[in-house]
This record gives sequence, C-alpha cells and structure tokens, in this order.
Amino acid sequence: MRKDDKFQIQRPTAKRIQSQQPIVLEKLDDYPYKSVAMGSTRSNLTGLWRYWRPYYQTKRAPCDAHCPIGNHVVDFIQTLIDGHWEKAANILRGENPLPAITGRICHRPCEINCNRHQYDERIAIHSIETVLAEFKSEALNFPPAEQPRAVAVVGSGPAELSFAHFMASLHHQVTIFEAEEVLASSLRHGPRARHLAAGVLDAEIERIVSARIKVRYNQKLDRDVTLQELERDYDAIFGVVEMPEHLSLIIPDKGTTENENQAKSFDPLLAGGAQNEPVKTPLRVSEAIGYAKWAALLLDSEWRGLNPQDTLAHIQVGGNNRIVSAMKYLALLKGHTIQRSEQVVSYDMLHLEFLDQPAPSVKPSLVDQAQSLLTTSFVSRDDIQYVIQEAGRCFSCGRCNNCDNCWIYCPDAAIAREKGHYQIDYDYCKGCTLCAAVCPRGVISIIEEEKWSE
Amino acid sequence: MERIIMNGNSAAAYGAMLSRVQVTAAYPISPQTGIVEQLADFVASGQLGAKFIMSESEHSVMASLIAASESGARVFTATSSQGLALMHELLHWAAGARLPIVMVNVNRAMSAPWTMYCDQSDIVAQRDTGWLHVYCEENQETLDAIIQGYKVAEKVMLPVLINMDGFYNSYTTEPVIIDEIEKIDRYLPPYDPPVKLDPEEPHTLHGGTGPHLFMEMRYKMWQAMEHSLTVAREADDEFGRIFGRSYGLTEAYCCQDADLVLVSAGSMVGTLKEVVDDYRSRGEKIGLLKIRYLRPFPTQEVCQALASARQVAVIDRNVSVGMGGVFWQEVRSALYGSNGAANKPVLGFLAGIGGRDVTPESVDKIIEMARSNPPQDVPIWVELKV
Repeated sequence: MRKDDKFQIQRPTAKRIQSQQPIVLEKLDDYPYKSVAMGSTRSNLTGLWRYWRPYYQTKRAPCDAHCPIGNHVVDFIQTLIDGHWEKAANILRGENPLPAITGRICHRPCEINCNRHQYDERIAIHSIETVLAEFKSEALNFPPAEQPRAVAVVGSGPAELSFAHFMASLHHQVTIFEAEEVLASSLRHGPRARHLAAGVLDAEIERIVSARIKVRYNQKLDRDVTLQELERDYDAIFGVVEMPEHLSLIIPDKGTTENENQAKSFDPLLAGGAQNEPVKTPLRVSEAIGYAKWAALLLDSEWRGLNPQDTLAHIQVGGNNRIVSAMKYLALLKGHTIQRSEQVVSYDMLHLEFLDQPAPSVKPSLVDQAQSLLTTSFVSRDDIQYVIQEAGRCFSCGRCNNCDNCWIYCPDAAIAREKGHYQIDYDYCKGCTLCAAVCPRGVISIIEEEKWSE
Repeated sequence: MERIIMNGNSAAAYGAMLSRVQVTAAYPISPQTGIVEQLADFVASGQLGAKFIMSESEHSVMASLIAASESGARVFTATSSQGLALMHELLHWAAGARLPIVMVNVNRAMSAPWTMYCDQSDIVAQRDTGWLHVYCEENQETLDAIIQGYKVAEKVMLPVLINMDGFYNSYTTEPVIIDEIEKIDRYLPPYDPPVKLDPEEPHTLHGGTGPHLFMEMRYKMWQAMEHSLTVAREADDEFGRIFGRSYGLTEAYCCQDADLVLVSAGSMVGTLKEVVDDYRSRGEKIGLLKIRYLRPFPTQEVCQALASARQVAVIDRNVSVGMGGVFWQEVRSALYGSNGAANKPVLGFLAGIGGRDVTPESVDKIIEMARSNPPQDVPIWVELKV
C-alpha cells in the first residue's frame, strides 16, 4: 500500500510555485489522498481584489519643516540611533554649516513644533545637534561648476559665513571682506555670545574657511574697499552692502555692453516676477544661515542655467519656499529622483498605540546635562549617553525606522523585508490597509488603486 | 514471550509501548487513568522513548497529537466518555487529515446524571467521525488491537478508535502475553508517512477547500475506509501467523445451525459465550456473533454469519435515544435487502446501560423474551424496573 499510487502526490516544488500555474484536478486520480497543497496559492493573484493601494512614502516631520536652515532632523536622529554617528554628522553638516553655533543659540523652532511635545515632552534636538557637531563629517560633494565665479562676501555674520560656505562648496572662488581683525564679531559680542564657549566659534569658522575661502581682514566697505571695486572684480556680492541693516545680493550686470558697470540687486526669484524685499538684519541666527543658503543655492542654479523657479520647487522643504535643502539640490544636480514627500506629518497622523514602548522622558539630572552643553566646548561621555537617550525618544515622524509593524501585521504576508527595506507584493496585497493603520509614524500612505497610475 | 497478569488499562499501555509510539499526550479520566499512569511510568523509566505531553484538556490532547502525527510521529492516547466527547470536532479533523492515530476509549456512560460506569454510549456517538472503530472483548485482544491498529491505520491513513469496556476490562486482571519486541517490530515497521510537515519541504495542509474540490476528498476517505476492510483482514491474518492469535472483523460462534443468534460487542461477549455453551450442552441451538468492527461495518461477514439464523437478537450496551441500540440499527440495515438474510426477525435488546451487570441470568431472560416473539420495531429494555 505504501507503494500504492494513491499516496503519490505532486509535491509543490519551488519551480511550480514560481510559475504561478494553477493546479487543475480533473479526475479522482489527480487528487492527493489528503488535503496537502500540490502547488502554491500564488496562482491566485488576490492583489486584483485591491481597492486601496498602500505604499511607502517618506514624509516631513514638523521639526524639519520648521527649521529655517532646512535641516533633516529626523534623518540625523534616526541615523544616530542606528549607531552611524559620522553619517548622522554628515546629514547635519550637509545642510547646516554652523551646527555647533545653532545647537547652542538657535531659537529652536524644531523643538517648538516637535510632535512629541503633545505626547509628553519635546525632544532636545539642540543637544543632539550640539553633540553631533563635534563629530567628523564630510562636506557635500557638488559637481563642479562649468565656470567658477568670483564671489565677494562682505562681513562675516552667520548669513555671510553660510553664503561663503555654500558658494565655496559649489566650487566658486569666495573672498570674505571683514572690517575687523577677527571673523564673526557679531557672534562674539552679540546678546547670546555668552552661550558660545571659547573655541567653539573659532572651530566652526575654521571648518568653513579652511583653505578654500580667502579672507581679507580690516577691509571695511567704503573705507578700505568700494562697492564699485567689488562690482568690477566679482560676479556676485553678498552682505549688508546696499541698504543699511539689509542683506543684499548684488549681481553686477556684465552681460551688456551699454551699462557695463551698472549693478543690480538680484533676487534669484526676480526672474519669476516674485517679491523683491531686502532681508532686514539682525536676523535670528538660523534664519540668517537659512536665507543665505537659499540665496546661494538659487544663484548657483541660475549660473548653471537652471530655472530658479523649478529648482526651488524641487529643493524646498516641507512645502515652504523660503526653506531649501542642499542635499536635495545635490540630488537634483546629479539627476537623482527624490522619493520623499514634503507633506508634514501632524500629531494626528501618528498611530502611537502601535509604538513599541516609547522611551520615557528624560531624567532631570540629564536635563541639567543638556544645559551644561551650552557653555562648554567639549562633549563628554555623559553628553553622548544623554543624546542617545534623547534620540531614542524621537517618534521618527514620517520616516521609516524599520519597526517591522507593517511586516508583522500584514495578514497576507504580502510585505517582504530585506536589508531594512520593505516591499509590498502587489500581486497579493488585498488592500486591507492594515499596514497603514499600524505604522506608528505615518510612513504608509494609501490611495485608491485606480488613481495610482495617475 | 512472557505472560503477565494485568488489567485492561495496563494491557493498553503495553500495546502502545510495544508499538513504539513516539508521542503520547493524555488527560487522565476515570476509568482510563491507569493507562496514562502506566504510560508515564514507561516514559519515565526509559522503557518507552516517547515524548509525553501533559495537556490541559482532551481537546488539546487530540490537537497536539494531530500536529505530532502530521510531523511524522506515531502517536497514541486514551480517554473516556466526557473526554472523548470534548475531542469530538478534532476526531473529524484527524480523520479528514488522514492521520493514523490510534486511541483507546475506556468507555463510560455519558452524563448526566453523573456516572463512572460502563456503557458504550460515549463511543457509538463518535461512529461517524471517520475513524475505524474496534470493540474488544478482553485484555489480550485490546493489546493486540493496538498493534494491529497501527498496522491498518498506517496503510489506509485513517485513525483507529479502540473500545475497551470500562471496569469490566479496565479494572479486571487477566493473563496477557507480551511478545518479543523484535517480532512486533517485524510485524509493525516504523511509521513513514507519504506526506509530513517538513521545514525543508514546506506544504500547506488542509487549506480552505471549495465545493469544486471537497466532495472528491470525502470520496477518497470513503475509498480508504472501504479498503480498510481488506487491510484489516490481512493485518489480522498476518498477526495470527506470527503470534498465533487472530480475531477477525467478526467472530461467529456456533452460528451455522442456530435458531437464534445473539449479537453483541465488547466485554459482554464473554458472558454470552458461557451462556451459548450452556444452551448448546442442553441441545438448544443458540449461536453468537461478536462484532469487532463497527467501522468499517463488516456487512459481508455479518450477513454470512446470520444467513441461517431464524431469529437474531442484538444486545446493545448503548442507546441512541429515540431509536435504540446502535449495533441493532447497524445489523438491521446490513441485513436489509441482503441475499438470504433479509426479512428475519432482528430484535433489539438494551442491557447493561450505565454499568448494570449483565449476568447469565439476564441472558436467559433475553433468550426467553426472544422466543416469545416480541415486537421487532422497538428496543426491549432488559431487567428494567417497571
């Protein structure tokens, strides 16, 4: 009886499963003696039943969306949690040339808008930023400009340093004209200077200037150098040069022979007919850095022959056209597609009931530690410990951090997980959207299937 | 070979041990508890290299055995009465999944009212679950039925339920022959199923099956059950050749020239044999048909044995309330329309319900009543206080 054909069954081989061929049982002899799968249910493409289509879409956390500099806060926090400190530092410095300064004296709109604030207490992003600023990092490697331009930066406040940094990173020749004997005297003597411990500022300036930016000290405008001279020698002049207490970006008009030396104030968006209001100083430090970055990236895009209006649409952060991302600009120049949505994740979009035990609030003693960060110039082991704890509290709004919820909860096992990436098998996803409902951070969006192709 | 005095519970445990079962799960319940205790001893002492699963209910017992059997293990359990009833849905599953599980039911009347004593109402109620049903008369037969049970079950891929009468068998000691394990190994090779759970070669088992597929799966089961009649006869013959003991699917005792044939199953058969011998010694033509297999029902053997009888009296130790004894119903439907055996009076007697003793005097009364041509369409309650 053991040899009896009645007990022979067609075994489901990998080949048969992959072929997705249905098994047809036409006569009694085709049947197995017991109800064992002879092929695979893969022949039944249940994904065809789908009405709602879930899909992964990285979104913007409110901290990102409210940072005037365009920092990717959640990105660097989550990268740090994964243990990649230098990579996290790269993400921070890629957008922000002065993190050691902003970590200490920024007005922290990121924290004000942190979703965790509605849950218990905000994440101390400034502390994380301050510690990360101490890590080694590499500058963004922009493709070289076809025709490097000469750029004059007058003064050396946060805006001027930021502009100089991005212009130099974009391979232009930058010269800073500083009226005094040291750079960034506004930060040294300003109202928040006491928060900047000796050495912090110098180290940050050194990182920006290094060997790539020329600095001419004791060069006060209208005393040691004139605007006309700058307009003659440079392709762009940035600083408080035209109106008192207002930042200007001047592009000397060298293209026309008639008014060879006539300069014009340049707002990169002027080409699109937008507003042209000079930015009044003094600015908050992060706003200054952010505005200068915005001007630098858009000026460069103009020089590279791109439409500034289109560029802005590509590189803005959180749907705010005054906040831009250098990393998005880099991706644009390299022709990379950017998958990220700029939709801002609100507290209501989070499904915190599916969080795996959110980390508790920080202990008071560690909050003291955070305060001490502001006035010291070095990062201690305690600081690192504190920052790791603080980063661990981040909800990672809108950014997948591989919590596996979707993969675990999918009732059809239609989500594959490989090397930290999830992929929905749309042949078998019935569109129950449970994955979207259990994603604590609102990463999974849903759309009606028929609208997907649009 | 050695001969040991033991009760039915021990005999069942020995049967399982000699069959080299690999997994046993059990929940103790009177009057089956002795089997569980003995098996636990065997496992603890190393005589039986099986995994013994402590379970929280009979339902879990059967569920775990189903899983163990699917993974390719030879499995065994025993239960009684309410415990068997608690397993009910999983009995269907085990049979539908075509798993060669062998189980002993030490029978006990179904409550309420609460009782511990013998009758077969618990096991006849599981008649239609797709298991083979074997009724044993004495302890040696129980032990042998377990070994034969695996032989048959693993050939037709259907589970086997063996009935032992509570108290009359379970707690009665008799000499029981324990054969050499090497001989038993030759008779019963290791279990090697055609399909089993295997992480190296994963299968989905028993998935959702629509009307376009289900009926043929049932028919396959039906075919296997039909085939088991032949397989059971062969297994019994082979057992007889090796061990010198065989039982048949039925046993016809002095039936050939009998005017009246008594029909029964279980421990009561022993008493009936004494009575038949007694009557025969006085020249009265009484015969006896012992039915061992309730499923598959050995219609051919039954009709043959009853062919010459003028009258048949089926004595049931169970009652299907509203109709009568289950063996009575089975015999009647087997005879109906059969060649030669049809249209003879088949009387249904209900005796020993709830553990009441059926003595030789009780049988005398049954024979006396049978001879008085009582109604054939309703069961007759024996020794009922009226």
